[in-house]
Amino acid sequence: MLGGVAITQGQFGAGRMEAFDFRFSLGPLSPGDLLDSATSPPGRTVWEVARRTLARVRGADAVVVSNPLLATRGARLADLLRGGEPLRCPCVLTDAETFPVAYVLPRALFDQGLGRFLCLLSANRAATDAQLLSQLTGQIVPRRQTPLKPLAPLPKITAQGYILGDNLAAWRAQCADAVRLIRTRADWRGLPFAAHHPGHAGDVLFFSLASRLVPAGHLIFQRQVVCRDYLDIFHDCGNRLDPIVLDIPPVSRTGEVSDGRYYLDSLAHIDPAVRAGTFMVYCRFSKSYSRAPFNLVDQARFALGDPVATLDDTLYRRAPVTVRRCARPPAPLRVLMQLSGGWPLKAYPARHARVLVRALAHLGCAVTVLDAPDLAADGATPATAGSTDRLAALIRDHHVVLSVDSFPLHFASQVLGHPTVAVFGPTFPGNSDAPRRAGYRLPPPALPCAPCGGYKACPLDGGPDCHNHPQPADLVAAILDVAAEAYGPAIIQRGDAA
Amino acid sequence: MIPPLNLRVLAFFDARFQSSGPLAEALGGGDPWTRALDAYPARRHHSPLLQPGKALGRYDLADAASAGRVVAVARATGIGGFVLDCHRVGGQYLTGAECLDAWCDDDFGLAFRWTPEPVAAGGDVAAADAAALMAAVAGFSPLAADGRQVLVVNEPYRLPDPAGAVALLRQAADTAGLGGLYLVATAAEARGGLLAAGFDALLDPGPAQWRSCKPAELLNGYTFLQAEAGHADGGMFDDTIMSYPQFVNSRMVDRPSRGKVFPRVVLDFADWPDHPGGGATLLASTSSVLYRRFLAGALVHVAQHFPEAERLVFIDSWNHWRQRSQIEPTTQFGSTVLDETANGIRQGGYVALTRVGEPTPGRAPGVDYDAIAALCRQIEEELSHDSGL
Repeated sequence: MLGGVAITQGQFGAGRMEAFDFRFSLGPLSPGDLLDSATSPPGRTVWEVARRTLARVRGADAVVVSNPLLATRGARLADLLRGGEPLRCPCVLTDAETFPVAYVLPRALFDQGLGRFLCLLSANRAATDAQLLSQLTGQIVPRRQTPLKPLAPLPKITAQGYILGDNLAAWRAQCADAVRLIRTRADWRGLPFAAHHPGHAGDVLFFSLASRLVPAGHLIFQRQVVCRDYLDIFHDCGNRLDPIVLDIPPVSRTGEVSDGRYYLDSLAHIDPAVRAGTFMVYCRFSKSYSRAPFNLVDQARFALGDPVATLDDTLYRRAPVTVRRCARPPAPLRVLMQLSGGWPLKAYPARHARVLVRALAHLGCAVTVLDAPDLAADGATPATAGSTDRLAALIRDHHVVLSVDSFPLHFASQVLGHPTVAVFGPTFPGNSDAPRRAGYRLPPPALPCAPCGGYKACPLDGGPDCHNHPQPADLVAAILDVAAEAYGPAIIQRGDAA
Repeated sequence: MIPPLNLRVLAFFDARFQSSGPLAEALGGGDPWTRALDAYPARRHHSPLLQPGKALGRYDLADAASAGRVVAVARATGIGGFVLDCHRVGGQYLTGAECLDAWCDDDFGLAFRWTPEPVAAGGDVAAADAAALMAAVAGFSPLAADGRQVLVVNEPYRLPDPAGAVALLRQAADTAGLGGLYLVATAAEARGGLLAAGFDALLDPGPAQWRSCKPAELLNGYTFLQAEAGHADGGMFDDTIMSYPQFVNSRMVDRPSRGKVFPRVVLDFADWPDHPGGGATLLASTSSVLYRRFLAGALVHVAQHFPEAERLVFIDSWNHWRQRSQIEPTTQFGSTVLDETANGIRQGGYVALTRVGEPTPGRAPGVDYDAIAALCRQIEEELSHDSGL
């Protein structure tokens, strides 16, 4: 729960207050629901709540927004505002010590188009946040203590889903850097924003797609930090932002280095001249993305400034951008497979993979597998993509792509619009599948245990395989099904399948 | 808050929590809450019953305001109706529905559950019983599926002639002016012939009726020896304990192959108060997060596989405190479960929306799914044989 309070009449001590509650949505998108975006720092949510509160009370002079890290109802926020010395605007409300509880923001900040700078708030150090607001408004921004008991120590993961730990330092760093930049550059209002979201492959793809979908009036970013390893993806997915190339390996998936720590370390590898002219916003994961049912493209759109305020705004209500087909003759049916993903549990179980390949070969299909040379013994042709150019060529050379939740799946289904069968096991399909369209199949995972968060082993039985993956027969049927839909029924009228 | 796509979430409801009225009188008076909660664990693995939380407290449904509060909380959670038991008292049935009906409308209705007599009556007696049943369920705000009042038939295997019983019920419903019955039989899969007998759909049986997964691994040989040596409670071998994650997965795995079976979503279950001598069924390692996913998954399932007017998901239960399955707020956990219920309904509704129009893989014309499945089985056997060599 997030609180927003609109204050009218300008006399802040005696002003009229109207309190509103907002919540991170688990599905519905009503005016009180915020799309829960894991790639948005808390400050992005402050901006959104302020924007919506002011939209509800057109004549409000100021808005108070609770710190998104904390669960605060609007009524509680209003209680904190009452009593004590007259409220000043702008100011930062803190607990009985120094942790920021809420931000009192003048409407003028938004009227001047500076709301986007709230994305840079640290949300965990009141002094730095007060300095940022001071630089933005040109006024001295006091910190006012409330009677709220000290909030520290905070849990590692808050009830709102924020992962703290190193993220706290990352949010503080982005805020402190922004304060320095505003102090040193007279032209700070026109400087670009860069989304720091350098990898992995799928993440870069989702951000690239999102950058294309955000309406021009809402897109607050002009740049994106991206690892050199993924620069081809950045370009080939049509990212609208300018890349800031990071010449270090992407963050480890094993959690040895957290996203927050990686952000802090990576700043030293960005050209100082670029940093001296860019507001860097931490857009790696502030939350676990699977907490919400929303697609990562929509989560990225929210991060980039798009409110995604209704269901009609979401990815699933949009027509597919492109639809492409393999130009090869229909015989034999050529199937390209990617059976391993970003972490071990995503991999389609080896035993099932053998059955799948053999069954397709038996039905007369030509099967190519990426990064799985062992399956050559079962009749598949091994291949390696290496780059998006090469992967795109391979995809175009096959009638149907079948892939686990991994970059080739998203590239084939969402960028190329190729006939695709999506295979989900330990991850939640709604986070990264494609909108429904002809030529796309998602054999539904059977179990409700996903997303389980398992990395190497099933959390239920401790084994190395995920039992939520569809059976080989379901995948064979889905491949033939989607092929018939995309290329006409004649393509499966041969062999034993027909 | 009704989820989109005509999804309707119902909860089994115990209407006996009332201090006056026909049902209370028939049950002999006394405090229904004491009756429900007066049970103490005799075994180490029996979790104590929870206590009603402050939000609703020990309400009295005979008090209109209390009943209204219960319905209001359920509505706010996203539940679309209650399923009330039909209690046979003498020659008539009592449901307690009159307490709730004033608070019902098109968005929140009442369905009923009927358990046939162990030895079925025949001829005129059965017809009179059906007429009494219809008299008890008629006249309230109906919870309809396919435009007909929902009636759940519990333990349908008690019916010696299901088709005859269905015909009798439908006839009695017509006579009572109910405008049709939507009959749901408690059974795990369509193969039992109940759909052919005239039932409209089936419903997953409860945890004690259908132990859909093997007992938890805590009942292994080591534990047995421990118990025998007196170091562990041997009583746990008298009960059936299932791990909640395994239980949930067993209820959702391969659902489409079971046919037109509505999901029964369960948060917790422990019927030890009614099995003091052993033989209880218990769920262990329950989790409100997994419960939320269970509920969301069930909603997506019915949205994908059921006709639009027949998309029901049953929660077991709203207030079966004696079985620990209640989702009402508790003293111990507050409204956590209720919040997760609302979240599950929201999440399931959203995910179902994203999958509108999704065809069922392998069911397209021209694709012989059975032949493909047979081929894959054959290959699996070949591979097993090869590895065995």
